[in-house]
Amino acid sequence: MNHKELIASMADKMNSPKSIVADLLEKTIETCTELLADDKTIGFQSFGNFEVRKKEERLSVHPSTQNRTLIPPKLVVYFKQSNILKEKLKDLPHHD
Amino acid sequence: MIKDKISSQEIIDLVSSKASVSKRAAEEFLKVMIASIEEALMAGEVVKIKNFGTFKLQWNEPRKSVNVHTGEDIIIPGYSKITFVPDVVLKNVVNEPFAHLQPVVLDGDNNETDEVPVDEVALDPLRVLNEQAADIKGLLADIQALSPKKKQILVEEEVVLIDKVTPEPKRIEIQDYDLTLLDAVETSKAENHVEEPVLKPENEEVFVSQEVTELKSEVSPEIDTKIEHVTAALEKDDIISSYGIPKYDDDDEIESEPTASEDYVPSSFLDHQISLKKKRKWLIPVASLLLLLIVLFGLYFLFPPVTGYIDRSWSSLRSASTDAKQNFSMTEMFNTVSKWAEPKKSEPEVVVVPKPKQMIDSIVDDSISTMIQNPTINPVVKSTTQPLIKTVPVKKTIDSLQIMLNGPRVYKKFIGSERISSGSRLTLMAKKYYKKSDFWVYIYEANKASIPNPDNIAAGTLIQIPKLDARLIDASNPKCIKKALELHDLYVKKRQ
Repeated sequence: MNHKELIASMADKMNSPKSIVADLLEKTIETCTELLADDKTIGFQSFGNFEVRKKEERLSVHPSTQNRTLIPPKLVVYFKQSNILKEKLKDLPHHD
Repeated sequence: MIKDKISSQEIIDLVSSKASVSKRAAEEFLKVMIASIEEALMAGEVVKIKNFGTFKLQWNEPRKSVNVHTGEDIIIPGYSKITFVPDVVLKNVVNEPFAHLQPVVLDGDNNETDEVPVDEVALDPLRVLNEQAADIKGLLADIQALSPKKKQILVEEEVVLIDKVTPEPKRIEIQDYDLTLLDAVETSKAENHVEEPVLKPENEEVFVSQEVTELKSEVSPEIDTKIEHVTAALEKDDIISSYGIPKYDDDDEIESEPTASEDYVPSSFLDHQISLKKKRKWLIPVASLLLLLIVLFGLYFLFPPVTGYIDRSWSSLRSASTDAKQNFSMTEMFNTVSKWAEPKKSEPEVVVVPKPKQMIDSIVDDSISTMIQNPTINPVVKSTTQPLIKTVPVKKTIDSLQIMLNGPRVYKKFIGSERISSGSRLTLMAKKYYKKSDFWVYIYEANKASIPNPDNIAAGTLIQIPKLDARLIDASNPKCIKKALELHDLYVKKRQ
């Protein structure tokens, strides 16, 4: 499901035009991005938390050339699903 | 986490104010959004939101684990999990504070290439000396093969002395080199060649003179006079057959040289010679005693009458039953004695070979240090030498390291920079960049201008991390550590 399909499905559920939904979604994403850039944690009830985590610098060694490279630290967005969602997923039959 | 956590309600507020819609509408929207995402994920789909990221359902396989309390094996059942991969846009926005940092390659291939040519030039004279030493050793081996007398050993060390003498005059006599001297050399050389056939009966002497003429061809002409004297001394020495350094004092012409003979021969070398001689003297009776023992045992075992006589005398001393036992122990003793007697006998040769090598090594070291002190003599030395490929690689690394440790360090290249904040330490930086905190002194040296006190650096000071030769900061080499600690003492004590 890509962006457009998501908007379509949401518009269908809300009985509102796609343009409004698209605008709202855009605003929501903007807000979330701003908050995350501010190093804040966003918690969506019954869905999960978005938080920013720092990955420490590390030394990577190229397996064939043995060149050591210092990888600088970086900040990444981490998503942790809520327990409610986890319980829901447990009922999901997995295929394979 | 002490981070501020933004709840759904706050998001709703923010979105409603931003999109200028009612809070209820925003709340509904958010609920629907989450529900839609969940729904799609439940259906096994991948949900991609532009400029935000991708949600995926990931199946984690069941795995074995151990209950920490009971120690029992338990199986964690497989489960699904929602993973989120942020979009490039979100990633970049979030990583803004660290965006300027780039991966640093710590040890590339081109690190040591720029230092090697310098070493090559500096080590050129050393290589030549090594070559000469190798030649001399080869010739000496030939001499020894001809007649394994003790006298050869003395001659061998004489030649080493010649080698010792040769590099020194180069330095001293360059200025007062005279053409008339050259003429004198030529005549004396001719005389020497005439004398050679007279000495022919003595094998060793011929070898030595040949050796000396070979040396002549390699070194600059002013040294020839020197070698002439030594050759003369050698010939004299053969007749006198007493070995010692004082004969240089007897030689008038050498004494007339600008530098005294003591300069050429360090006292430690003299002591060593004497001790070697003493050791040899002590070895002679031991070796003869061992030889006697071996002969006696040989007689006992191979010559039947003697064997019979000794057996009879043994049986008279001991009972018949113990006789066989004793016999057995005697054979055993013979075996062991003959075993350790063999290496003992060959010891004089074994001892002698490494000693001149050691001497040559010390010569080589000396000459290197003189080369470094007087770079002007390099051209002279080079002109007499031929580029030779044969070198001793191990020696090269050690010596170049030694030069690097002794010489002043110049910091031109930098691998990074750090700004001092509270809690920053040079040692920590050294640990980070050089893998060992002891090497902080090099960072300090490179930034001496901006650091008045290494123990207390003002916050905000920009520290440049110099690029150092990998050999200099080899944590496994005790020499490097020692040098760093010396510098540490120097800088820390200077403060106090």
